[in-house]
Amino acid sequence: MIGQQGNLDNTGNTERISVGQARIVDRGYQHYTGTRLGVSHTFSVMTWAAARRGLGLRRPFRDKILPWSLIGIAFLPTAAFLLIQVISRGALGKATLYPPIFNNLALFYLLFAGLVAPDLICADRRMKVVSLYFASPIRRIHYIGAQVLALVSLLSLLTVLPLLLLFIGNALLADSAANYVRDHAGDLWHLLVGGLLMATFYSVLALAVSSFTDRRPYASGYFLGLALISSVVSTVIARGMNFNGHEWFVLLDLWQLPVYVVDWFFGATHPNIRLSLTGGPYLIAALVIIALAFAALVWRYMEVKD
Amino acid sequence: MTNAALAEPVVRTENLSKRYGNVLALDHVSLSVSAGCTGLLGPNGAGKSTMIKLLLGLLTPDEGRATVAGCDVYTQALALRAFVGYMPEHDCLPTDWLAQDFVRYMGELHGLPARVAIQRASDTLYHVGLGEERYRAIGGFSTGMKQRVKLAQALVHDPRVMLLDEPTNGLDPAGRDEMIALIGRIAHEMGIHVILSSHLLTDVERVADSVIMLNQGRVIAQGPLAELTTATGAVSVRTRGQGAALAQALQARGYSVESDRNGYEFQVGYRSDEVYDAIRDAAVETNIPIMYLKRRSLSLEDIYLAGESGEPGPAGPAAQATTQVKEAAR
Repeated sequence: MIGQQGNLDNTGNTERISVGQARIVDRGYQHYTGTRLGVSHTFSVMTWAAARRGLGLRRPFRDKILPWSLIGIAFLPTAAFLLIQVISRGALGKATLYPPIFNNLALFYLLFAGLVAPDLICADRRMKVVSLYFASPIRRIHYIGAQVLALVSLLSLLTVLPLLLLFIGNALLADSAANYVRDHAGDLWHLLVGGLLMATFYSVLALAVSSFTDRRPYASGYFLGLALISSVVSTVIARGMNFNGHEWFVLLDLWQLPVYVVDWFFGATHPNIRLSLTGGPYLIAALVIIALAFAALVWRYMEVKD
Repeated sequence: MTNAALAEPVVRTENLSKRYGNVLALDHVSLSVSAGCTGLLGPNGAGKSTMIKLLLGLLTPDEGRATVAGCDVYTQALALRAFVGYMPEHDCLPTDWLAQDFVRYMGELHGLPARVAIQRASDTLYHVGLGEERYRAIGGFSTGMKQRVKLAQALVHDPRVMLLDEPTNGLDPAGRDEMIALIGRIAHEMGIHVILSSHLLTDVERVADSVIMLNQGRVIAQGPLAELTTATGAVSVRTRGQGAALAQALQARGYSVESDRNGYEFQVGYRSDEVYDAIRDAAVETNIPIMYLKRRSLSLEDIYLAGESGEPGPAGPAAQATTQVKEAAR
């Protein structure tokens, strides 16, 4: 049908000529005259792309297995507790499960951060894609910020969402949901802040460690090794030694430190360690470590050659 | 970007200098790039890549300033990069991405809305010859295809200026031909100003409208290609057999003649077009057939070698342009 009637305009502009049901489309180069969006758009695009990458979306199946498995594990305690409550008609009573869940899942949070953080940034440096990103209308801090925000958001799927669902489930199973929410508003606040703090702590630390190598397995190994070794060494010194100020070494436990903070939020005492330190130093130490790790991350990216 | 900005030269630098430790990569470079395709020529280490990174605002100069399309590259770097496309020399592609996804993503990073970026990514990949392969992972591409993806990501957001750093690197002769043809289309059909960095004279000669030659961080020549390679003050004559008699006949008519060693080819000094009549008459007089007669032009190689050796270079506009640049640089 093409060419039956009508003339094609060969000026290079898209020209559509209808001939009956047929359509001729000239794919000449088109200049873009529409709006160009700013840095906030670019930042959200980078964050979403990093989050998708972390979840293995639009990637082979093998890249989806670990992140989705760990997310699934994080929902197991919530699902189990709510299921038992429903089946047994509230036999577990009003037990406050939030601190134990944080305690027991901390290792999985650590694993998630240690596996996903290198995936977000190591490949970009190894393949030198960052040189293209930095030649686009962004600053390096935007790139770093997008990776941090993406990983914190993903890790919040493990640290915040299951506990939030548990809170909502408890409220729905209570005699009066409104009363439950009112009576347990403190728990809601603590689990949100505690969950976000844990996500931020592990995310920034994992990204900072990953910025020192462009090999993903090494980055995962360095981060997990650092967290586990710091935990063992600091616990041994804090609990097993007896010199002046030995208990302060517990603040260098990169695995358990955010757990101690969450325990403090909920007024619980961590079962593994009973020291004279109150919660304040734990929180300050966690915030200082987040700040230092972020500074290291920024410094590493300022050093990256274009 | 304002109309006033677009009326200015595409790129202008003033006393631009960049030093890496003890190495002076760019030494007070002042240049002006006009519309079309400009070749940035020079051997490895001449300062081409440094110049491109300075023009993108990725490096900070030690001295001097630069503007691209009227925008200062340091104070307006972000706004500027939305209108500039950059194709680096080195490998820079994520091998586990689909070509379409990556080019779309680069479009979005340059400010295109998502739907526009998707459409333009498809169109751009089609224009660079990867329309059929756009849903394949980049890791499975050949070197030539990867170079096309690099070109597509620099083109997807419809830049005003494209900075292409050694775009034919690693390509076989056929791939080079295709890439040069593609760059020619971008510059001459799509209306995008292109700065093409290369150490290959032939690549630049085939596509560029003007040329800037760098060596050891200095500009050794710049200007429109037609002017740089314009005719010199000589006419080349090649004869069938010995041409000594013809040379003598021309000398008798008052022309300077320089013969080559075997006497088959010589250069006749050019004063006006009357020289052609004189050569014809001398050929008739001496009964020596002429095989070839042409006003001698410089090749880019001639200009480059003259500039590299620091010699004054051949007489004519090319040398004048070179001299002007050197004086400006001083």
